[in-house]
Amino acid sequence: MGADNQNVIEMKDMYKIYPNGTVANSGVNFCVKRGEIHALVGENGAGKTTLMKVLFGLEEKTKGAVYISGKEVNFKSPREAIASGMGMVHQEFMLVPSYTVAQNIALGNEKKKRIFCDRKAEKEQMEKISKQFGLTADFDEPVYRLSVGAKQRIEILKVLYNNAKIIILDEPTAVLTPQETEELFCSLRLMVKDGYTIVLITHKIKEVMDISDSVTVLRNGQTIQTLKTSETTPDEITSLMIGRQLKPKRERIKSQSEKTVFQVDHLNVMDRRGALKVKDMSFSIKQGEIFGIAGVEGNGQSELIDAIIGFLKPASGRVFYDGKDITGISTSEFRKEPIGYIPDDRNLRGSSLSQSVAENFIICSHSGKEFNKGPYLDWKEVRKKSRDLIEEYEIKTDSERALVGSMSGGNVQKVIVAREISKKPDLLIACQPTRGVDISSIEYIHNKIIEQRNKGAAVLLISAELTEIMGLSDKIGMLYNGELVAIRENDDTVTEKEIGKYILNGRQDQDVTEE
Amino acid sequence: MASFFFQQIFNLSIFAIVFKLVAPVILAAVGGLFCGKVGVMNIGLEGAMLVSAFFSIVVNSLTGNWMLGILAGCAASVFLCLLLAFFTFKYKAHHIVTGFAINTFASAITVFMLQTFFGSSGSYQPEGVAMIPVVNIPIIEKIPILSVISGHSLIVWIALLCVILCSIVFYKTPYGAHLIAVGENVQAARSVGINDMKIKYSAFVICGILCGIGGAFLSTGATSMFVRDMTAGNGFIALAVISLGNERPYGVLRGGLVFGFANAIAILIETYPGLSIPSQFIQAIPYVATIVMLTIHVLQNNRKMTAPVKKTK
Repeated sequence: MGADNQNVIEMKDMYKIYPNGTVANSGVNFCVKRGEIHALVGENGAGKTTLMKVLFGLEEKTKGAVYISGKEVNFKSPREAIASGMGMVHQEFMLVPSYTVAQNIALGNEKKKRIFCDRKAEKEQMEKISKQFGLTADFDEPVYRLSVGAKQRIEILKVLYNNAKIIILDEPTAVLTPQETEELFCSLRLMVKDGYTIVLITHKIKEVMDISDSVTVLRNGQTIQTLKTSETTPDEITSLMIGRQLKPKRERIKSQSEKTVFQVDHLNVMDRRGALKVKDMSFSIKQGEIFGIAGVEGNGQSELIDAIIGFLKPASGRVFYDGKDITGISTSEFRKEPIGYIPDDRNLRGSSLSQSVAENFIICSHSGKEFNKGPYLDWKEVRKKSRDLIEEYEIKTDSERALVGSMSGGNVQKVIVAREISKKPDLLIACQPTRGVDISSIEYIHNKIIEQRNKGAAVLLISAELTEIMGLSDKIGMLYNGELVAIRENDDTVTEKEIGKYILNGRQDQDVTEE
Repeated sequence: MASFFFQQIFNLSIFAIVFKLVAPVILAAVGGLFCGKVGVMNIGLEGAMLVSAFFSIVVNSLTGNWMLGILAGCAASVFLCLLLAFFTFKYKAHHIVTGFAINTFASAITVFMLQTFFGSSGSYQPEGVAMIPVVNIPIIEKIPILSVISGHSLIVWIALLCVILCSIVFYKTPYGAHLIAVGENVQAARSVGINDMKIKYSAFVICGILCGIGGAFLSTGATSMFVRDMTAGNGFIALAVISLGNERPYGVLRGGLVFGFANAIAILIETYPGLSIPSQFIQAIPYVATIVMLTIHVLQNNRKMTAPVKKTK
C-alpha cells in the first residue's frame, strides 16, 4: 500500500452493545484513506453516531480493533483522541452560550501566559485558521447571539484550532440553509486540499454525491458496503441504506372542490418581545389542497403558527376555519376542532417524552367520550386503539407502553403524525414534518400527507426543505422576513432556484450573490 | 434620633459593624459561587460554616493557635462539602435535598458534641481562645477618615481578597474558563477533553475552604464563643447575595455590603436608648431588605429579558 494511499482510520469488526442490551454496532468495518472526504451514511439508528463516538473515545467499544494511521489505539476519553489529531463536530452544538466565540474555540486548549489565559495569542492563531479556510467569525461576539450557520463554523474552527487532522462531522447540515451548506462544503474542500481527512455522517444522498470521494453504508449496525462515490448512483445508495427500493410516491388526484377550508386575512403578529414577525399575511387553502410555505427558519413561521393555534394573540387581521372566525381562540378550543397539528419541535411540543406511546396518542383526547369510562380512563380501549395505530403507521416499538423518550426521532414523529391524522382532520397543519428523520420515515410521512389531501383535507405545510415543499405542495407561498412575497401554483415551471431567490432576497429580480 | 444616626455614621463605627457582619457572608457567598458555576446551588453553606465554627474554636482553645483553629474548621467544612458533592454527583441525589440534610446534620452534630464533651446544650465559651488578629495599619489609623480601613479583623481582608482572586480565577485563568463551561454545557466541556468531575469536586473543595474561614471567624474572630446554630441564616443570606450579585464576584461584594448595611442599621436602632419598637421588628430589617433587593433585582432582570434585543449585523 502506497504511503499517500494509507488508511488513516481503520475500524475492524466493531461491536458496541449498550448495558441496556441495545446493539448499536454488530460487525462494522470502516476504512478511511488519507486526504479524502468519506461519507458515512445510514438510516437513524443504523449505528453511525455510535461508531464515531467509539472512535472518538466518548463510548467504550464492546469488541473490535481501531487503528489510527496504522497504529492500534484504544481511546478512553476525547482527550486522547484529540491528542492523536482527531476532532469531532457533534450533532448538537458543543458550545458555551455565554462565552465569546474566541473563548469557545479555545476551551480546553487555552494558551497560557504564566497562570493566565493568553487571549491575544489564541486569537492570532484563530484568525489565521479563519482566513485560510474561509471560515469567517466575529471572535468577540457571545455565542448565544449567533445564527446556527455561524455556530457550525465555530465548531469547525474549534476542531482546527485543536490541531485535528482527521475531522468527523456528525450531520453538520441538518440545521443549515442550502446557502450555508454550500459555504460549509467550500471550506471542507479547502481543508481536504490542505491534507485534512474528513468523515461526514449524513443521511442526505444529495450531499454524498456532491462532496464525498467514498461512501460507506451502514444498516442495522452493520457495514453493508463501501463504494467510490464516482462509481455509484443516488438510487443505489438509497436502496443499500433502506434495504429495498423506495416506493413510488402516492399519486396526487387534482382536487375539484372549490370550498375554502382555511383562510388567513391580513394577519399581523408580534412576538413576545414586541417585534413584528408576521406582516400583513393573507392566503387561503381549499379542500384537497396543500399550501406549502417555503422559507428559511426564523422568518415568521413559528409566530404564524402560534397565532393560529392560540399561543399568541395576533396584533391585527383574522383567521377563518370552515367559515368561522377563529382569530385568537384558546388552544384548547382550537384543539377541539377536527384540525391536525404537527408541531415543528417534536420533543418540546409534539410529545411527552416521559410518557408511553399510548399516553401520547390520547394526549389531546383524554377528556373525550371515546376513551372514558365514567370518571376514569378506559385503558383497555386506549391500548387497543394504540396497538392499531402502531401497526397502521409502522411505528417501531416493543409495545404501546414503551416510553416515547426511548424511541428514535423518526418513530416519535410517526407517533405524532398518527395521533394527528387519526383525528380525521379536515385541516392539517404540518410544520417541518420530516426534520431530522430518516428516509423511510420521510417517505412514509409524505405519503400520509398526500393521502390526507386526496381524502379532501386542506393542508398547511411549513418547511425549510425546498424539496419537500416542491414535492408536496399544490401552491407555494414564499416567506421572507414575515411577508409572503409571492404565491405560486406549483407547476412544472417553478424551480428551486426561483424559490431560493424569493426566500433569500425577498425578490425575484435580484440575483442571489454568486459564490 | 436622626442626629444619633448621623453621629454614628460620622464617627464611622457603623463601618466596623458592617465589615464584621459581612465578612463571613461574603466568604460563604464566594464559595457558593464556585458551586453555582458548576451548576449546583449549594444550600449546605450554612451547615459547612456551622461545623467550622465549632471545630475551629475547639481546636483553637486546645492548642491556643488561631491558625490551627481555622485549619481544623476548614477541614470539617471541606469534609461536609465533599459529602454533598459525593451524593450529588456520584449518586445523583437532588442537591437541595442533600444540602438540607447536610444542614440538619451539622446542626445536630455540633449540639451533640457540645453536650457530650462540654456538657452544655446552648453555648461553649472556653478559656484561652486565641482570637484571630485584628489588622491595625500604622499611620493610617491616626488619619481621621482613612482610619476607617484600620482595625478590622484579618478575615475581613481575606474576604475582600477572595472576591478579587475569585474574579481573576473565573475570568482570567483556564481553570475558571473550564469551571464555567462545565456548569453551562457539560457536554461541550467533555467533548474537548475537560474532566468535568475533577472540576466539580474542586469547586466544592474551594467552597468548603471559604465556608471554613467564614465559620472560624464567627466563633474565634467576631466573638470568642460557640452558640448552637450560631450561623443564624448566614449561609442562606449568602445564597441571596449570590443571586443579588448576578452570580459575579464583585456583584457578590456589592450585594453583601447592602445586606451588611441593613443589618448594621438594625443593630444601631436596637441600641438606640428608649425606643419602644419591638426588637423583633427591628431584627427583621436586614431580611426584609434582602427580600426587597431581590425583588428589585428580579424585576430588573425581567425587564432586561423582555427588552427588544439590539440588532447585530
